[in-house]
Amino acid sequence: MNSFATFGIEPTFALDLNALAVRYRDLQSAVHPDRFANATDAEQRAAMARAVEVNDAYYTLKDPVRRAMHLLTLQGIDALAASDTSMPVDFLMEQVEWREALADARLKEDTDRLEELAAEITSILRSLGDTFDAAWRGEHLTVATTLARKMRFMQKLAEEVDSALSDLEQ
Amino acid sequence: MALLQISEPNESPEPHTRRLAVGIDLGTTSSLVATLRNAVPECLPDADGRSMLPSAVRYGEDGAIDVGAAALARRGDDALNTITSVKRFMGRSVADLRSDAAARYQFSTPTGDGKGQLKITTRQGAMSPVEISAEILRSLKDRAEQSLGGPLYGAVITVPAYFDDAQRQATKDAAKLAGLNVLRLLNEPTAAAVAYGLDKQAEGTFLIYDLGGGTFDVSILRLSRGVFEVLATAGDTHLGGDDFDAALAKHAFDTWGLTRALSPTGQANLHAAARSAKEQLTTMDTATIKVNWGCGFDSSLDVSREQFTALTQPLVDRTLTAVKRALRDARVKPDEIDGVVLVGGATRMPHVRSALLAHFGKPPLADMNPDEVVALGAAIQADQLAGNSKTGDEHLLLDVIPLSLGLETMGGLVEKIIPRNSTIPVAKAQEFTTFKDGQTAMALHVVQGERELVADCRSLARFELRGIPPMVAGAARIRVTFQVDADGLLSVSATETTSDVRADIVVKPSYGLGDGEIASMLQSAFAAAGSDMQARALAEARVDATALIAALGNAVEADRALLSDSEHAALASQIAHLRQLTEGGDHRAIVRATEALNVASTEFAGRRMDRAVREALAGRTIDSIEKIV
Repeated sequence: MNSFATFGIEPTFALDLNALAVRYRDLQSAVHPDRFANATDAEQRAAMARAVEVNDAYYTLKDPVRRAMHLLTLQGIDALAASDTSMPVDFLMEQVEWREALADARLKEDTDRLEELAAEITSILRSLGDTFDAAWRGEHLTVATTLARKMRFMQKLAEEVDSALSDLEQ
Repeated sequence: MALLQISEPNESPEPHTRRLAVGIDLGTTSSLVATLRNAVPECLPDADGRSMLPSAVRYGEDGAIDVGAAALARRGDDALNTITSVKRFMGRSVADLRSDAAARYQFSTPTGDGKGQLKITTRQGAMSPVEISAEILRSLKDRAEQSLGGPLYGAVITVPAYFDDAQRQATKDAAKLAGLNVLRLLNEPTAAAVAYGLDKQAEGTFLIYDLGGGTFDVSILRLSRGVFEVLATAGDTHLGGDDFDAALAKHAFDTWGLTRALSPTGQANLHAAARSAKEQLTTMDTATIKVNWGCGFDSSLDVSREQFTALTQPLVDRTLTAVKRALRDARVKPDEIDGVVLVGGATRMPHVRSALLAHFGKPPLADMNPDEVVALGAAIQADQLAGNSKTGDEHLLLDVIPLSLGLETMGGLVEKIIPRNSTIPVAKAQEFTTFKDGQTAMALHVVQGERELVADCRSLARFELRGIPPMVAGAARIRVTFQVDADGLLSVSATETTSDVRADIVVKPSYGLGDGEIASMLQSAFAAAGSDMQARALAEARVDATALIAALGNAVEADRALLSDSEHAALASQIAHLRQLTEGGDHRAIVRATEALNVASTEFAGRRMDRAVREALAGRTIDSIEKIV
């Protein structure tokens, strides 16, 4: 399933998220099951299937990491394939440092430090995205694949910072 | 299940015939029914002019069942047979009960192991929360039908956004049991957003803070040109105004130095006194909790607003924790919220309002009646789903599931399949494999919740996929698909993809009622009312068939171009055949032909949907979604 095609756009990394949101709402306005509440069962089922597809495509496209993975998938590359998990050593070392920083802030219940980490990760994710975009446009697929993996690592980290923050709010 | 569709066949709805549709807010402490009149939603009052029906049901000595104020009046002297706050028991087992609730009634479980839907023992027998809720819904349905002068076409029933699958299923079962055609289960904060957004023509990002009698929800929505998009929801299904009453009651109990556990009657009286003091403290600085224990013995205690605030601030803080989580999940900062809308009677408490003012830096919006706004929004949605709105006038709700759905994997861990706050409808599939050579069956355990261990999540259902061809471990490919519909209800199917062995379930076995159970309850209800199941089945088959003929006829007329001449002729002949059958008396033949026509029109439906998508994509001139860098 090509999520870009569902939205009627060419596969590309750099998307205007506001325009994407507008198109999402237009598409749902056309196919949502509520629009077919008094239609035949066949049409209700078809509407349900379309609404599911549009939601799934939007879920994929609005998130930069999922979007990058999807672009690679369309080129036949599974960036998360278990068979190939090698990552540059310096990147892995950085990950270890990030995780230590996270564990430390969590232990000290240092909310400010966690917020700081979250902001840093967001900015790194953004610059990884820009580099991915350039690699993708230049058709350097091997480089793009490594970048997408790095993005996924950073996103996992962001999720853990997030859950540490919400644990502290309890 | 079309068993309950009781409106008259409606072959070609004339422009001015409206279907009677209502929105019902089935609340913990009180319930309301509303409808749209001249495009304005309004709550329907009872004969005495009261809109709010206390959610209380009393099972009397003579077999009579009282609902509402009449029942509530007997809570003091007939506490065990007068059920209040039944919403807290929906989709719950005896094992789920908290100690405070457990003291109020005598509970039992049909299975005897403490799991499965609990029942409450009354003098008329053991009643499930589904049956008790159905009494409340039936009372509102009768009120609406009297007020509107005819049978209802259908109803939208609201549920807390944070209700899990078991609680939603129980609510839907209760509505079916009350004889209602459920157009939609709608999340309470979303319903409130619809009423507020349409009334105020609001656009932007809004946070709905809904503190009801027994449940708390917070939802963040983006309102944009008639689309209500829920970005995130969070909440607590065991936090509401009731808990503020309980805190005040406990304070009085402790201050008076009472040591013995109160009788159910004493407890009911104390809670009523605490509630009335709480309500007075909204406008006054002090209030008195006064309880008459009978036999000339009474107690009283003055409470200041400051004391009340101090006693209940932890409860307000719990709501703020959920608010923060919703903001985080929605990726929205407090200063990006354009307005905080108050919903639920408990938001009248001044310290709730000041906490929100402090958190968002602006006063919350309190210009809609917080008791009525949910029912009003449900009425607007019911009217639209009944097909009464003009084309172009429609709004669209995009809601989410509140809790992640997953499967148990090895070691009691949860594999999440659909994350919380996914927009519905949604479907996701995951592949699993066998772990033993020659394994021919696989047990699947469906759970809901955010924790990593199965034991910490809610168990929704267990089922088995059998008949997997024996293979070496790891060779089978078992594809499990979760689908959540627009009501937020889950169905699960599993297929072994190398052999096509298939198992389907609608998730409901551990909670709620089986369809068979509902059917038999209805059957005995009809028997009691002296009506004939056969005649009813025929009438319903005709209603369904006629509705299909009308809808398909309209579709063919609108999109004749999407059919070849031979396809058109084939559909026309099947329509004619079904029309002829509806004039006969064989309800099974009508049901079969209706289903056959639905199947035959599937391809046509798909083409119509493709065309709708093409129009949506072409409808707006966006130069490009591609960002110009």
